[in-house]
Parts: sequence; C-alpha cells; structure tokens
Amino acid sequence: MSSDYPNNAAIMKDVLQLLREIVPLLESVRRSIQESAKHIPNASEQLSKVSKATESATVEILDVIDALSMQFSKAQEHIQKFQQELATLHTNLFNNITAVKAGITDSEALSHIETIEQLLQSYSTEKFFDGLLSLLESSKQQYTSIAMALQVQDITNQQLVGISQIIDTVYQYLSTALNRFDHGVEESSITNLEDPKEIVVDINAQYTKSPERQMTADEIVRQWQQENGK
Amino acid sequence: MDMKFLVVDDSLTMRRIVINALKTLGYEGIVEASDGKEAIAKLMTEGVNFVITDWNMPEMNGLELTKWLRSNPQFENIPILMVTTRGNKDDVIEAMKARVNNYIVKPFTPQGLKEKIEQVMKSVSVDN
Repeated sequence: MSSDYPNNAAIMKDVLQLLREIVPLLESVRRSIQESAKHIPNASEQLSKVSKATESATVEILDVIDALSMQFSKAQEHIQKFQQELATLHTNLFNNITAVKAGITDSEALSHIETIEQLLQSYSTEKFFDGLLSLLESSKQQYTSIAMALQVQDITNQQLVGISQIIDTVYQYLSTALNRFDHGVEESSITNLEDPKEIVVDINAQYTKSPERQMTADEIVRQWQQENGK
Repeated sequence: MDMKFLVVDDSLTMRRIVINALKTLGYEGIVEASDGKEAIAKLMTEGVNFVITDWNMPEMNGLELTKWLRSNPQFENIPILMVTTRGNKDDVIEAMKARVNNYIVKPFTPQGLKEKIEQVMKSVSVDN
C-alpha cells in the first residue's frame, strides 16, 4: 500500500494541474457563450422586422393589384358598352341609307350614297375592339400571376418565423447554461428550462413551381379515395 | 346552389390571395377567418358550404378544425379543402385520415384551385 503513495501524489498533482487549466478554459467558454447570447435577441428581432416589412409590402402590392383589377374591369365594361353602341349606330346608318337610296332617282346622288354605303361596309371596328379586349384580358392574367407569386411571402415568412423560434429556444438554453456557470448547477436547477414553444409554422415550407409535391399529394388522395370507396 | 366559401388562414396575404383567386374563378360568396376557432364562429353564423383551410395556424390549426367539423353532425359532410405548405407524404395521409376532401400544396394556381373545388363538389354530390 505504502508504495502507492508516490503514485497517488503524482495523480493528485496532475488533477490539480488539470483543474488549473480547466478553470480559465471554462471562463473563456462562459465569456464566449455570454458574447454570443447577447446578439441572439437582436437577431430574432431583426427577423421579425424583416417578416413584418415583407408582409406590409405584400399587402401594398395586393392593394395595387386589387385597384388595377377594378380599373381593368371598368375599362372592359366601357369598351363593351361603346362597342355595342357603335354596332347599333352602324345598323341604324345602314337602315337609313337603304331608305334614302329607295327614294333617290338622281343617278349622281345615288352613286354618292352607294360610295358611303361601301365605305361603311368596309370599315369594321370589330377587330379593333376584339384586339383591345383581348389585350386587357391578357393584362388581367398577368397581374393575377403577380398576385399568385406573392404566396412567396407567406412561405418565406413561415421559414423566418420557424428559424426565429429556434433561435429563441437556443437563447433560452444558453441563458440557462450561463446561469449554471454563474450560480452552479444545484442553485440554478430551480430555474428549469421551459418547454420549447410549439412551432405553428412549417419550417420546411418551399416556394417551388415544380408540380412534383402536388402530384405526390394527388396520388395519395387518389389512393385514399379508392381504398375508402370515394 | 349559391356557394359560400370560408377561407381560413392566419396569413392576411394568403387569405387575400385565395380570395382573389376565388373571385377570378367567379365565386363571390366568401368569408374569412384567421384560425380554427374563428372559423367555427363563422361557420355557426354565416351559412358556409365550403371550407378552404390552411394547416399551420395558432389557437386551432387546420387539422384540428377538420377533426372538430367531422365530429360535429352539423358539419360532418361539409366539403373541406386543405391548402398548405406541408407537402410530405405523411402530412397528406394525416389530413386524409382527418377526412379532408382534397389537398393542395402551396404555392397553388387559380387553375389548380378550380380543379380541386370541382373535384370536391363532384365527390360530395356523388356521396349525397
């Protein structure tokens, strides 16, 4: 037994040396955690600001699109009404020309009237109005596409909120770790970690135009309906 | 039958996008709610006959809303279309088990929405 004493002393010496080295190391870890933790609330707040700003900008764009939609619909209505009025006027003119022609005996006057009739027949506004209405319709489809593309705001917002909640949870854990450094495990165990907040967003949300995910969903729905006799 | 839709989503922009798409498709009767609880309140008073709901929402999510509706005799057959970012197989299966009528993965198109509404209406009329 007595021969073990020098060994024990050496071990004790090593342990003391280790402790001497660990204490500053732990202090350095503590400072590092403290420094990192200081920036976390700011990061979370920044994400929240980005989220609010993009939502607000998206709502503004949707407002403009709504206003455009109303103006385009009104323009379409006016054009269609004008087109109808012009068609009625055209018919009335023809009827009157036919009536006038029937009462004319002078060949020169008749020739003038027939020229007017031919001019009216050759001038069709239908193509012009159809082109204009089709242009308006195509513009409507384009701004509908813009509105649909704004789904990106909701999808990216879910990712931002999800990341923000993860950052908050990490901050909570780091704060507890710091508390343990400062007050010891026993004392700090009174302040238990709260359960992480429930994430009510889809952090895996994706903005993709690939039809793959919808096709997979459709296949599952189809199978489900088949199996359940729907 | 005049259709009255209830659009349930906690995102204001998403509700507006769905409502705009419905209007583009010619549907005018539309009410909205920002979560499942508000949706139930609207269902009680608004005479809704078609629900379009998101999944992830605070208070009461779309899946909980679906389960609540299916367990309530007044709404057990109301058409429910889930429109969500959750596109995993397990999510779709879970939604189908909760008895949604169909499922759209965001981002969606007005045409996609139209097809799904028509499919749901067709399946509901067959069932009845």
